[in-house]
Amino acid sequence: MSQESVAYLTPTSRRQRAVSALHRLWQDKVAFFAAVFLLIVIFSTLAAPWISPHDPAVGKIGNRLKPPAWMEGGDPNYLLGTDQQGRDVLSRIIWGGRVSLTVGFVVVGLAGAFGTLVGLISGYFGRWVDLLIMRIVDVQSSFPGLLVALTFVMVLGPGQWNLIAALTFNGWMIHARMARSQVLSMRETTMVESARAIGCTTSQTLFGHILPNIISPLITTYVLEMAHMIGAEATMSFLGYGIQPPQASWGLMIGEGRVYITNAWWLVTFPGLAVALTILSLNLVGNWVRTEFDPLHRSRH
Amino acid sequence: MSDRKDSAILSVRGLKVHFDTSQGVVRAVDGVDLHVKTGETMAVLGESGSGKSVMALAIMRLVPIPPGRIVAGEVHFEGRNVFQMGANEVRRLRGSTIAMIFQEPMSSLNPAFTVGEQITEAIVLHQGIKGKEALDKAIEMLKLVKIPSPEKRVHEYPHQLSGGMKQRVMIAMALSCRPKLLIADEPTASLDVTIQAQILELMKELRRQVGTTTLLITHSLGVAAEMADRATVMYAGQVVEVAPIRDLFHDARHPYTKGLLKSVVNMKEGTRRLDVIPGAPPNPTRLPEGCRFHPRCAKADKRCCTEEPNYVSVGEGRWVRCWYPET
Repeated sequence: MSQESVAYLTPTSRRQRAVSALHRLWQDKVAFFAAVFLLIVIFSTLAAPWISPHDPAVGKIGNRLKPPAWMEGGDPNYLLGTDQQGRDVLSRIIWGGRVSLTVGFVVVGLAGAFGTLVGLISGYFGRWVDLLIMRIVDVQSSFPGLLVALTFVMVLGPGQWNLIAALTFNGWMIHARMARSQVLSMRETTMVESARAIGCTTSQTLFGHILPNIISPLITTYVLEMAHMIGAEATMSFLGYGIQPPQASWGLMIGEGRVYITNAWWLVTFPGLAVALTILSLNLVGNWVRTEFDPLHRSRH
Repeated sequence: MSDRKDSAILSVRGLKVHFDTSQGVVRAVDGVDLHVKTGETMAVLGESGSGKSVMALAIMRLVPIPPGRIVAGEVHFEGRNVFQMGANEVRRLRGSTIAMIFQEPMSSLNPAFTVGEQITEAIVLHQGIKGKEALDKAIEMLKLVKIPSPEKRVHEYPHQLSGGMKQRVMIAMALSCRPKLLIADEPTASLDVTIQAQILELMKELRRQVGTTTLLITHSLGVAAEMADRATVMYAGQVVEVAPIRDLFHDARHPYTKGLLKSVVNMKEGTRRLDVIPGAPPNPTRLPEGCRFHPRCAKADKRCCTEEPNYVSVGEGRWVRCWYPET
């Protein structure tokens, strides 16, 4: 599009903008397939009670360690095989995804909201507020995350919500750092000065003017952190301090299946693939989101 | 200066704004007096670093504290001391009664919002009208600043506009609440010459229409001559000369002002070589003793090196800060 036609572009409606965003997603094939994969994962976890072929927690011991359906000795009823207790691996992956995604979303929701707020305040007010908050962030970041989360869960007891609390406790600092660094570069601009010059209050300046301008790198962090948190959930559950049996989670499945890795590879491989592909897709989509949400790119296409 | 007439809408008295930096204390504004009468356009002239912008920010209480510090002085607007107002009171003043146009329209507009959203923000903040009505007002303001097809432009983002257009939008924003005082900080510095002329013409026209008192901060003598009724010349954080604009150009008294005038191309006289003021502005952390201009002044003598001159009246409404104002 030439310069001239950009200048005379007619205002676009929200719907038109959404359509053109989808069009751009389609052009970025890698991000497109990653997004499709994520949608499939999200849909199947939401619809788990209806689409999972078997009860994820109950198995017949007589069906134990059946290979995937296409292999010799496989049962067409159990598409991805069964585990050591005769439970359907596919059903467990679908239900396990529910846990993994919930943990990812909720942790990033909580840690992201809290961290971003703290970072905004720290960066905008500066001085002792900034000093105090950033030292807390430094101290908390200097402990190995996994160790803190493990201690946390050991004290509180394992389980999904305690795991979420532990990961939130561990995950807010990166959001605070990100938001702070963005605010620091934003704070000195004439834009902020002129917002104050028309009489904006501090919170109007901070949330109405600064936040919309720094949100695009922050959204990228949110998406990438979601991938990180899904990985962390898997790690914690693998170690036995996350999700507790008979509930299923990807990490827990890998943890339980590792004993059988030599004779029943499918127990580890499929949940492993689920974790890896979800994290990869989140990363790819995160990259796309960054360019899409950049205010400077808006309606420039 | 005893020029404290009741007609002054804005009086700055003995204002000192210092900044604490790692190199030491920067005395950006160091004892400035300024009186602006209702309805006039006062130009504040000075080179970069003379403290003109900091003074403007201080008037609106926008100096970042820290590193800035208001060391002394008062700013009276319509007889009330701005420095003694509460935070909310100052905020209501900003944008409604005192508005500001910034130097760089490119970076003072928010890239995340449309032009209309930004103009209506000021209207919503101060006038209590909302939605469609506020948008209509924004379109009306765009019309006032002569932006073509304002109904369309109001929905565009700043990056879709040219530099001149952006400055027009800034002016529209500033005037949207009919301010009594408009502070224009180098409104044309970042624009090319033809656009500069257009913007100045627009500002003059708006002044006739709206009648806003204007404090025009500029380093350009041409802009000052074109726009202002009176001028205040600043050097190294102090006022060195105050005069009606004609007198300043015909009969400048301070050696610094004279030097400035000589360093501008004059087509009529066909000067071959421009004069320069020798030396450079002093380091603001280590200002010279005595008169601040003495190291660069040809007429400086012993007294200039040790004693700081005070304002001397040199005629109707004219003040000079020099030991030898008559020469």
